[in-house]
Amino acid sequence: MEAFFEVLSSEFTLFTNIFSSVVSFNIFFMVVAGTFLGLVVGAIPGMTATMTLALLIGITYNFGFERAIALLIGIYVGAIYGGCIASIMINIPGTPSAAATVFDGFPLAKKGEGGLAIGVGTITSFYGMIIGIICLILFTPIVYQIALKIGAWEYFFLAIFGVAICGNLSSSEQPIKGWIAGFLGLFVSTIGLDPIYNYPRFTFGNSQLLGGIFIIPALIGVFGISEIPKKIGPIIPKLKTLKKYVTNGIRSGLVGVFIGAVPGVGEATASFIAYDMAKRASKEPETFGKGNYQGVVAAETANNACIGGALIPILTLGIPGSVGTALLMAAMIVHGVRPGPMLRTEFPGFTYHVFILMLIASVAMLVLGLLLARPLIALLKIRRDILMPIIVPLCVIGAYAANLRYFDMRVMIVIGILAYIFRWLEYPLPPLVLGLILGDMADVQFRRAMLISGGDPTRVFSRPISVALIIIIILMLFFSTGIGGRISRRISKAFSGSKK
Amino acid sequence: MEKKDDINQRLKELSSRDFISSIVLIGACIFVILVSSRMRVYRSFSDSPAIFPVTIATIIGICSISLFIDSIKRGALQEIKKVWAQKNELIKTSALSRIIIIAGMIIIYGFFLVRHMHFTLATFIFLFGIMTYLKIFWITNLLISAGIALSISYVFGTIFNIPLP
Repeated sequence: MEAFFEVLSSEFTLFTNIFSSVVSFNIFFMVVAGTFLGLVVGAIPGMTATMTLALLIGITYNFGFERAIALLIGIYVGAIYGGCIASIMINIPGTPSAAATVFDGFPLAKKGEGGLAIGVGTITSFYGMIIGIICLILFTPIVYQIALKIGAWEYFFLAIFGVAICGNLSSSEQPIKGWIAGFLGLFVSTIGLDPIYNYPRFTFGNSQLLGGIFIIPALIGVFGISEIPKKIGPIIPKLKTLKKYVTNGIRSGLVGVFIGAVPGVGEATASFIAYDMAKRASKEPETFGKGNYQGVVAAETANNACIGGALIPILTLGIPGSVGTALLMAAMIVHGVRPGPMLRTEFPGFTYHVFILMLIASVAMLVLGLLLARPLIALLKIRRDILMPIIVPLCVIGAYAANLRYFDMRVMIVIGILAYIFRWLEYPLPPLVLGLILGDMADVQFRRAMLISGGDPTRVFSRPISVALIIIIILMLFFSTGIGGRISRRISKAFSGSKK
Repeated sequence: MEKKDDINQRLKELSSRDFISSIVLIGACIFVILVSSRMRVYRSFSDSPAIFPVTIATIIGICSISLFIDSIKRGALQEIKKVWAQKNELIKTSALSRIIIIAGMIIIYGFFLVRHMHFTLATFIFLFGIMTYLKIFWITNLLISAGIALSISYVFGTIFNIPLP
């Protein structure tokens, strides 16, 4: 017991020392400026957190480590939240993580409740950040143990699970079209050099295709411009209203942290899974996708909580939990800090450092989000026939800037046209994007798993986590199809009948 | 009950599109499997570059066959006959021509203008052209196009230091 208190006391001393060194005007300014920049960037269609982080890592090289990491964490937190504004108001997720917010956010905006949806999204994003930060501090050792048990098969099934869930969610009347879209996304990600043998797949002699279809132009192309809602409505929700979302918020926050801690999965999957769980737990699941605040709460809490979760594998294993944290990790390495198991020895208190920066960024996000929502919406409220053409050059810059390739611009335009046809055919687009994001991971992990199993896929049944995932996927697919759907409706009818 | 009828009606209207898209997808899956079968096998097929695309194409193929059967059950063939009979009216609708013209302008901008002239000038020409088509008053159009083209170039190129196309 004495030893425990000794450790606690030394950790507290370390925390206060770090706190006094971190909280200076310079660092505070950098975090707030970063959050503001991230928020604006996240709200502009086509500009993503990943792209901004990628562009700024080089620029922050001369800043010094503390200021650079403060700015980048601010941008990351701000941009993940900022994506919700564009998702709600113009049906275009600024970041892939905000794709699930579109489902209910945009229908709410069409009803004239966009302001309130943004308010709820802002407060629950803050809520998610706090859950993520608490979990980062408290559960790092536990999640570290779970993450260590996850192997190639589990990664592959997690990707399939994410795509299948997303397909279910985005097309409840015809889930099969959602799955087709998701698997098409997975297929498109295989174009280019294969990641194990560098063998060109589906390039048909075109050298530009060797690099594959880059996610940013594809994302910009897929989510075209929809109508801009005219009425915003109030922004700050009532406390009484927010109380209704507490359970959903805690559940989604924990889902976000857990998914974030699984390396390589990231915010997009977390928000989709949390959204699905909220829909299943709801007494009115049929209202999801038509403007239910619980959908916005689930997606926004999970994607922000995921930031804290995604930092856990970086700080403990040196493996990024998402693309955004991968870039943060790159920034740390550029500045001479190598995350991983030795971090605690080489840089004691670094976790607290990150924790404090994230806390400042969260408060800045909450304040700036509520203050700037209206001006940012006003920016998006410009007449559609004026706004639509203006967005095209922004998309062109967005598609070009990441890799400086004209080819990416063309890919963006071609995918945009194909996405328009898909929209007309009523195939949902979010699973396509999720498939594109997870495709690389699914491909590599599937083949790695096959190699480890000596080409024998039945060996997957010796892995309990994989078996659990397979059962969940099969049940989910079964209950979404004809016979399964009828059985599930009968069960729910029987339950509702017995309640009455 | 009425709501369920609405959904069924909408699904019936969609059946012709589902029918056509499922045929295209089945064809695409066969093509992908054929192309994948020609890919090099290094150690064994289980870790070859082809295994993942073949697996995905098979899953998409199964889903597409299911969609194809489902669309026929929903009356896709009758719907196709109905749509075919109205084809001339559909082609003449202003919405379709508007989409084609705007898509064409975006292609010209992204594929040619940006590539062969300065980004600011290309953006100005694109914005002025598209807003002229959208019937925005010419002085407003000129001011907006020039203002936006210059601001985008300045903000992204100079302030954010992002390389412009």
